[in-house]
Amino acid sequence: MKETILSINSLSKSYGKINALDNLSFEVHKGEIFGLLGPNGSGKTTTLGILLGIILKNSGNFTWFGENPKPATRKHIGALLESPLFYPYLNAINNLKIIVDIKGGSYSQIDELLKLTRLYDRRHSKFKTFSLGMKQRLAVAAALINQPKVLILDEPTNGLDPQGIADIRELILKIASEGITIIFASHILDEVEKICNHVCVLNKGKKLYAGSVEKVLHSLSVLELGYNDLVKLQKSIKNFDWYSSSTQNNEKLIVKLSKTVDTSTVNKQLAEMGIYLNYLSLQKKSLEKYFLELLSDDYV
Amino acid sequence: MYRLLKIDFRKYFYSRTFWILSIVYLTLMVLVFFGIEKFLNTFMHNASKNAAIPIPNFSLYSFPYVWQNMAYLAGFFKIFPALIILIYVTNEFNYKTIRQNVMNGLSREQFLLSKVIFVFLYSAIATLVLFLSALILGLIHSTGYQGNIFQHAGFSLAYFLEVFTFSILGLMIGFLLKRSGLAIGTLILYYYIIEPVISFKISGKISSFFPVKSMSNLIDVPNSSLMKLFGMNFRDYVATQDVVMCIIYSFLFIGIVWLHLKHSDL
Repeated sequence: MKETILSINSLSKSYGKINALDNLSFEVHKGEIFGLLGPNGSGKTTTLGILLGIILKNSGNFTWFGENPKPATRKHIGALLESPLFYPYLNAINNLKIIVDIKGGSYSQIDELLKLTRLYDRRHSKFKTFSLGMKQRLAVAAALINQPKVLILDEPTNGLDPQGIADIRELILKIASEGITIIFASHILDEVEKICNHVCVLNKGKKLYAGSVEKVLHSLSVLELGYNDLVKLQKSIKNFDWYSSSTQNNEKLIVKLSKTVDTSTVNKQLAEMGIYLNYLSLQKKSLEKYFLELLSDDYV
Repeated sequence: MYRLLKIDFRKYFYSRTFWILSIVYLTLMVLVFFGIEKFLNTFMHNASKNAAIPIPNFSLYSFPYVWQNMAYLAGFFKIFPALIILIYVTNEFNYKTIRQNVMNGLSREQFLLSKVIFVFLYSAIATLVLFLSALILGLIHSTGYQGNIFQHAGFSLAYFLEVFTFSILGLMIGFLLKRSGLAIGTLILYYYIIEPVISFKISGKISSFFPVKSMSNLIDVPNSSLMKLFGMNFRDYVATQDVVMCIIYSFLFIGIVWLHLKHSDL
């Protein structure tokens, strides 16, 4: 069993009558890229706020690195939130120095972090003169101070242009390759799919699913197959390991999957059986549809 | 302690607003110290041209009276340090940097403590400016004075307590209201209007226990020959009640902020 980095146990938080978090439990293990997936208002930011000590829980508990959380525990956590939080009138260096002063450590790492995030040339510029992309990159630099054991990211690509999104994504994967555990909140399924290997799906403060991304994603995709004899097709594919169930619709066979599979494999497998498809497509359900389905399903 | 000071120091040292407000505060105060005697005497001289009895010249700078005179004057400027701390507390909420500080490992208590340390040091610097000004003015104007020049120098310490307590009031209002405009308005309204009006309506015995009253009472109006002429006599010492009340209020305000921070989301 891998070392447990974070363990959350029936965490609840309400704002007045609204339950922002309802009995949430999950675990994150060392080296995982853990996605916290859910639509806006599902409790992702509240969860991260509690884990980072800025929001107070109503009940339940959580442990970081197997210990009850103390303020000093957070020194080992790097966090990147939706909006970068810095002193607008201070330059990049001084903003990072404040964080080094809080976390402890040496100022000498600052230059390197600024180079890594391509801000070194603007290190003497005040934060308020930065573009959103630069602000977010400074937040990445801040999150990496002292090489944290865990990196928490809350919708870090929100509002960024494609280049900015690619930058952040690349940085995350680079960091993850160094063995740092990453907790990543997002409402964009595609993003979670590209980056994460474990996921917890939230809706209205409740956990709908927690486990490997594989399992969630295959339940999110369906194959649409076209062939002149759908009954024969249905019989032929039943024994494939990716097959779960199927229905006929509009002259096509809609196949639910039990594991992820790419279309070329399906095409090859059927061709080997002498079945030449006239239509083949892998459809991904939108996250909204997926949530509706999860809510109506017995997943809950 | 040193670490907290270092963290907070950087927030002010590179801030233009901080330097502008500090320079305005301290130069204005020193200018008034050095100019007040001449101003009062010219003013009274003009006003009393036709008076039956000649009004004696003010002599504000002689030892040991210079200590109380200058400390009393300095009291009018205590709004500046209170506004500075208030602005920098509300800034932390405005920029949400209090979240960032706490997220990075500062406890809520440490965050509060870093601000209290700043108030302490800033009050100490203001007190030092007062002390040196009074000392220099006294030395210039008291040639041949035989007594102990530091007699009544304790008024400087009373000023320290006055500025500290008032700034802690500013700090509390900043933490509770979070928005700078609202907080500044509330502090000024309370200081100049609400408490004076309430004090005016009720007995002096009770109002002497009020926060701003306790702070202002620390250093009473100096006795001048003019005041004596009108038969008024003010305290030329610091009353224990005011000292105790100011200390109680300082702890109370800090305690209120501490409880508030402990039980609220940032």
